Amino acid sequence: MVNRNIKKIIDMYRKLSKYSFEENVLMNDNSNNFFESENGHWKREYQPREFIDDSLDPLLNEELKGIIQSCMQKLPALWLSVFTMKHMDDESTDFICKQLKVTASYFWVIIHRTKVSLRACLEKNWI
Amino acid sequence: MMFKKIAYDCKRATLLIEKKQITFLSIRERFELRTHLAGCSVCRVFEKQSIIINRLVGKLIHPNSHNSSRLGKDFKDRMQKRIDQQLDGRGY
Repeated sequence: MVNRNIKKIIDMYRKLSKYSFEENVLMNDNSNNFFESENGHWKREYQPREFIDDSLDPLLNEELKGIIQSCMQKLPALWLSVFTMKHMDDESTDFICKQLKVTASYFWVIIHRTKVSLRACLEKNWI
Repeated sequence: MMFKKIAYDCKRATLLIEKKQITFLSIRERFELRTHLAGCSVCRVFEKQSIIINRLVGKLIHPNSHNSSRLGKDFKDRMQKRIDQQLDGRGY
C-alpha cells in the first residue's frame, strides 16, 4: 500500500521528466563542479564554511527553512523525488529505487549530490 | 592502504557522510571516513551542516512531529539482520 504523499511525488516526477531517467540527470549534472577530478578534494571555492551560528537554534529559524525550501525547488526532478521520499515515513532505499527505477549505487550518488548542492545553495543564500 | 588517497578524497568522504545518516557503513567505509575526518576540518564542517539540513528538511516534511528521532525502515532492517546473525552465530 503506497502512502498517498509518496504516490504524489512519483506522479509529479513522472510528469516532470520529459526525458529518460538517465538523460534527465545528466542534463542537470553540475556536481562535478564541487570536487577536483584527480583526487576528489574540495575545490577551494566550494569548501564549506561555517555559516550557521551555533548560538541560534537552526530548527527554530524560519528564514533558514524558507531558504532550504526554495533551494529544494531548484533541484532536478529525480533528485528532489529521491531526497523527499527518503525523508518521508520510513520509506526504504529498496522501495524508492524500485519506484523511481534507479540502481542502489545511483541512489547514493543522487543523495550525495543533492546534499552537496543543497548545502552550497543554503550557504550562498544565507548571508 | 592508500592513506594519501583517503586523506584527500572529500568526494568519497562526503558521500560516506550521507550514507552513514541513512544506513550502516561497512567496516572499511567506517575506517575510510574516520581516517579522512581526522585530517579534514572542511569535511567535519560539511558533516555538521549536513545533519542540520536533514533535521530542517525533516521539520519541513513533518512540521508537527516532536524531536524524537525516528528510525527509518532501512535502519530497522539492518538492525534486525545484525541481531539475526548474532543469534545464528550462537547456535540459537
